[in-house]
Amino acid sequence: MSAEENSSPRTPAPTARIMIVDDEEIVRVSLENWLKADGHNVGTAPSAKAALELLEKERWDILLADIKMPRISGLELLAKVKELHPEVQVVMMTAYASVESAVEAMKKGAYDYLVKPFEPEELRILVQRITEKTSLVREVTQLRARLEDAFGFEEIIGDCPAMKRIYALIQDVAPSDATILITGESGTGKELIAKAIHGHSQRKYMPFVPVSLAALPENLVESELFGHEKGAFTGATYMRRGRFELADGGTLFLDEIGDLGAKVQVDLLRVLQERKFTRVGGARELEVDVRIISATNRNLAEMVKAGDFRDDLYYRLNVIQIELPPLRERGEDVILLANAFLRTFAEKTGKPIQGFSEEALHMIRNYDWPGNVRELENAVERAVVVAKGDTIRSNHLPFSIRESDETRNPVSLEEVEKHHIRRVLAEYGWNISQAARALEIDRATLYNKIKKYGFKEEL
Amino acid sequence: MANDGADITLLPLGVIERRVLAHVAAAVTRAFPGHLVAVSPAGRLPRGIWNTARGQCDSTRLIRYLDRHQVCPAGKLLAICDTDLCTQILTFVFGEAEVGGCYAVMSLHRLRPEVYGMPRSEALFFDRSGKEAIHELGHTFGLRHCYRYDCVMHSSDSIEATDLKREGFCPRCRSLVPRAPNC
Repeated sequence: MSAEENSSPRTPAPTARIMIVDDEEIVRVSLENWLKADGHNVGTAPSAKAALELLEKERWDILLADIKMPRISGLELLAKVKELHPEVQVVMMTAYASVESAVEAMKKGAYDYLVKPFEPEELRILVQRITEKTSLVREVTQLRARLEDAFGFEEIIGDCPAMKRIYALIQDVAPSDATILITGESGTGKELIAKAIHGHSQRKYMPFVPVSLAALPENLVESELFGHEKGAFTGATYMRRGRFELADGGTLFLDEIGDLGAKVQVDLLRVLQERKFTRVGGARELEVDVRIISATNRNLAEMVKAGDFRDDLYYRLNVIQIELPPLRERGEDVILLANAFLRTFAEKTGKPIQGFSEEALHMIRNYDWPGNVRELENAVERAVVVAKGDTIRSNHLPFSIRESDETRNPVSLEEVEKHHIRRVLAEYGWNISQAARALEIDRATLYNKIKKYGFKEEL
Repeated sequence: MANDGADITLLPLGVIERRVLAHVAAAVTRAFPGHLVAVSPAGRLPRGIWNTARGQCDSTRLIRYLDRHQVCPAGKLLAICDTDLCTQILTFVFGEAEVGGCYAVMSLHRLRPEVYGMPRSEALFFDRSGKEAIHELGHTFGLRHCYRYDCVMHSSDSIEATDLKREGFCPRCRSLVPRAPNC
């Protein structure tokens, strides 16, 4: 590389919004000329008060402030800026150099300190360093915001009391490293909950690695989880890292944990106990720092009793349990979800569909949704595809839903009562007094009905 | 004080060698084709711009002086002096300009090889003078510093950076220089 190539950047230096705060006009003007020539957007303020007002109005990246100013000093301004606008980098300037004020400025959070007069190169390099840093910080902030969108609650739709309790629980347990077991019927959104836990944990900037154990052939589960060394088995031409290694520092989501074979249960228990494992065919022990969230639609406690699942592993996995309610017990959430899916698919297909007809909404409300949210999502997607006008009508919904509605109509009075009470209980989050008031019966009667129909409160 | 009718006026402040002025005028004419360049009769450095403690002139104050006295009511004006320039906060500057404004100033002092202990070289001194003049006038036409080290609009914090530049604009900066009205 020639000296010329080495001496010059290849791309333009990032520019910044810089505010100069100095009570001397000549200083403000000369700095403004100098920084403008470098392509920066420059503003000036003759006092700390004016600077604070400007900071309220617009976004600034850098504040170049004189230490010695009448009324509010530069150091007081620095403290205020750090309190109110911590993202702004402050550089203090002074003609009255003293180690004490420099130390104080740095202690109060100044990025750097310049003693007037300074070399032009000194100022340019300092500003360049800060702009590069702030543009990097901005990129990271944007990436973090995107991460939070992907792992926050935004993707989970639900307003019913059961879901609200789950949101609160996630916020409580996410910051800890406790192992979590998510249970619930298929399609209730267990992976979304796992992602939300990861997104609210200290590990959120590290990987979230999902692995569906049901989808893996049994002979590959071990290799998938722990990796394998080259030549570990026929076809293992290269060393491969497993999901545990990929998730190091982050969260490993083991979906369908009830499908785990006996041998891998032992290996998994060892990782949970010792945080160590070896790749298949390897001798070297590897250490990992992984939070485990597992999920299943099976009754693990029953499996333990039947001897199909190790009890020691069950207790390790089930430190905190989150049980997701089936969609049929989430009251009006079904309509919230249906509308959300409708918006998504209408946008995707470019169809001008505005909503559902009354009859379609009635069917959506009354259907049992055994496949839960996933089934609803598929049904709405299908309806959007076949719909022609601006409304989803009942005939656009899948046959299974329409058929269920037809067969459901001539039900007995007892069935209607059972269905209605279950819905009202879910609606009021199992608040017996409120549910009884809504049903216009007394609490004792409601308790009797609950007992009669065998309802159980679920989280 | 400025020449009537010129787009760009070079104003010597104090005693400036004629040959340098001729060279600078030629370089500026080449850099801003179509613009009428004129050298005005020499003026004196105003008193109020001296920083006696530092033995330098304040370039910002000089620009403000020129502006306040409407030295050049139309077009661009580059004041050229042989005194070392500084600002209140910078130890020295080769020059200063109003970005997109009318006035620019430059000093020949730090362009001389001998002030760095090097042998005198008229050619090198003239070359640097032309580059610095084009650079400061470029600012008055709204140009900012260029990241290309060989473009005349690249910032110079040291004389070495000035020597690395060419006398002309890079294609991007060239495209940003407004054409003369009669071009």
